[in-house]
Amino acid sequence: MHEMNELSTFWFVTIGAIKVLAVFTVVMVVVAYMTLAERRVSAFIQDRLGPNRVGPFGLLQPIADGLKNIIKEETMPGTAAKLYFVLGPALAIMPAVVTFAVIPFAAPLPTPVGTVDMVVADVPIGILYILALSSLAVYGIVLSGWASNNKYAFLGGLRASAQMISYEVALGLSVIAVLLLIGNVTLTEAVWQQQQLGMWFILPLSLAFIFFLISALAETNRLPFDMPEAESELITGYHTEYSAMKFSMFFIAEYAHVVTASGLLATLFLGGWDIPFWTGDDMFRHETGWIRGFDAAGAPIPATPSVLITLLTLGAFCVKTGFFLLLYIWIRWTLPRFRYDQVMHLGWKIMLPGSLGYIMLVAGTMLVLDQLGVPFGLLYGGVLTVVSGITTLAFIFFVDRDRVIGGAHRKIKVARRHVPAAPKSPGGPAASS
Amino acid sequence: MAISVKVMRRPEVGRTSYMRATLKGMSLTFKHMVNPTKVTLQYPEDQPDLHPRWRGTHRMEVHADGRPKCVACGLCPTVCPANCIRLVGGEDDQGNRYPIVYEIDEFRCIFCGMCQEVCPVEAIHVGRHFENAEYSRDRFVYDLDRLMEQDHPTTLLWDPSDSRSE
Amino acid sequence: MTEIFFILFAVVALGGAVGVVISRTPIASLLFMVATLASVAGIYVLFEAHFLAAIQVLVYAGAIMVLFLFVIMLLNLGHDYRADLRFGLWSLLGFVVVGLTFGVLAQGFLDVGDTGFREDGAAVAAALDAAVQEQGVAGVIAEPLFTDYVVAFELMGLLLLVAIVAAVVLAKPRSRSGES
Repeated sequence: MHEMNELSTFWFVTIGAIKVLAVFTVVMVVVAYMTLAERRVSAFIQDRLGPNRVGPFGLLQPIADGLKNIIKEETMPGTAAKLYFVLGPALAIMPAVVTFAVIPFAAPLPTPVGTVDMVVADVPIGILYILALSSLAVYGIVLSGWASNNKYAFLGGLRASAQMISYEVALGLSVIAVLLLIGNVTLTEAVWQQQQLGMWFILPLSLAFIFFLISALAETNRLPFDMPEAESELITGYHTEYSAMKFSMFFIAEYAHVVTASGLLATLFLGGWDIPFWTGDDMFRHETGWIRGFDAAGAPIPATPSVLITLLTLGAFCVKTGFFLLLYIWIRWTLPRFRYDQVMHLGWKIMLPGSLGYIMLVAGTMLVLDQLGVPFGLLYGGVLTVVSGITTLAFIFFVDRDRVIGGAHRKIKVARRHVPAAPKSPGGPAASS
Repeated sequence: MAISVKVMRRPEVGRTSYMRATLKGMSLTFKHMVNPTKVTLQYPEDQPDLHPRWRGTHRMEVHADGRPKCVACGLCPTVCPANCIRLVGGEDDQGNRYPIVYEIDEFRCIFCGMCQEVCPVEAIHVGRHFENAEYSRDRFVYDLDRLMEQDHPTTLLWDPSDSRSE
Repeated sequence: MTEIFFILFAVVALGGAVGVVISRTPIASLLFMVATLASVAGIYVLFEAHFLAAIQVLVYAGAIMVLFLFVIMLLNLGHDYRADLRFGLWSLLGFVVVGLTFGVLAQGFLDVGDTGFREDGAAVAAALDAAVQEQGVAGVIAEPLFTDYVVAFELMGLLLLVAIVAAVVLAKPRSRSGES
């Protein structure tokens, strides 16, 4: 049996520091290039070219932007609450940069000093850690909106807090469906269980995926849910009064949230670093060592970590995360902004009961399957896929055709009903005037 | 190019959709995203086609011997609605009038082209040219030498081939 | 190392608690409270109660405090806090209640004495460890909550529901008589 090959304390700390640095750097670089990608993709969608002047294909644009933001003048409104005004961006960026720590990004890497987990911190509370920290992100926004002493910024902050509370509920509830299947809250376990199930959770938990995607859009304040910074109504909302690097911090925070959300979506629903249709990369820290799975008798099959597998799985993770990053941009430049009451309506009246009902459904199906003694595998996943697929189609049919969310005309209809009937004059409008 | 108006009709009650409409919209944007024909003009390399009647930076026509064609008649400062032309005329030994000072403040100019229309000897012209950025404000008052140095094409205020055009 | 962090978190928690009381603006009070809650979560982490720490941050610091912030910002803008700080009969009563509570707590601590541990503490800890191994942290917390204490749990839920209904009733604009 393959030895566990644990790291000694010295190497654990050293490699941990290296991982922290590497992941932080990579996330920041991805964030920088997300701003470029956002501009380029939005340009392509609008049949333009986008920034392509600084460096080849505009690849040095983020550096130019960063330099510009650093050397710009920092402005501070005279009536702002100074301490909180400065504290705001810091509070906004802090949760954004630490949440990526629990997302596993590749299969374990063998090194001369031991096998290294490719995750910064495999904490036992995984997803809860992300939910907890991302729920703190709103303080930065609310605080800066309030400290700016500007009514638009303030309204942006209020909207952010209301929206964050509303969608955090749906986000958490849609994650619960996933947690039911994992039977744990760590993300390494999430990847492992998807490898064991033989399919990614997007199939057996399709509705949870849709709920999670929508809630993640709302949580990261991206269009169509960018109520806190709705330009047409609130100038730019909570960061109206900010300039230079402080403004930049909000941007970095937003994009870091997007990167984390994409990584989380990839891990929870697309198998994380798992390479599809290949069991050779399956790997998990079992009490007997690194294992690839269990044989028919239930005995663990040992796995051999290798550099090649690590690189391949890293590539798979990057492709999946990149897909979601692109999806984020794509959705942003497709959909217009929701009206504020529609956002609240969607959050509380559709997402919340919908995801609650879906949890009941998934739990019930799993209970029936467990009672029938169906082993955790393709059949198990297949049954869940069918059940979820039917639910998803029914849900889409239900939400569609404005049965649930009313458009503008529904408002008009409601308003008309309350207007008292005007006295009819025999000659029509011309005679009455 | 005629302006066309496309009327987007609001869907009737009960016929709007969200998921399907979103997917439809995303497929449309995707088509545009991968569409290789873009409308962007790569400006400094590709110059825009300026219309023959584009009115931009002024230039002064010169005789073959390098003298300005201007005869300092004073019509252009008179007609100029923005009052941006300063002209001091003089007379040489042969009795030819010529401009001693001829300055155009390009900041005040509204590029109406009346100076070109009114000029009896077709000396002052507005040009098919717009790249006149400078590092300081005083560089925007063009003196006679500067006006004579300009070499961009001049504006056609009317189409010579069409007698009915203005 | 652990002691240093414990002292750090404890100082921040206590300092935050004092800050909540002495801050002039409600927003600052609230932020101090968030700091206190987050520090308590940090102390939970030091006790290896990761689950509890995450729930603490998620529910209290993340959700409830944001709601507080929302309400304070909506309701309390430009409100003169000094009117609330007049000393009177009620504040005297408050001091008495706080003093009594503090006294009872102190008495409890003194009764426990130096050891601070139950005699069968090791056995309880071992049993708990085994339970955690078997059910996971969430299971160990959830099982008594949904079996032994289910009535209390549901009553708490009912209480919150009553509070919500009361808030809705209070917040709703009163319908004038004569209006249908």
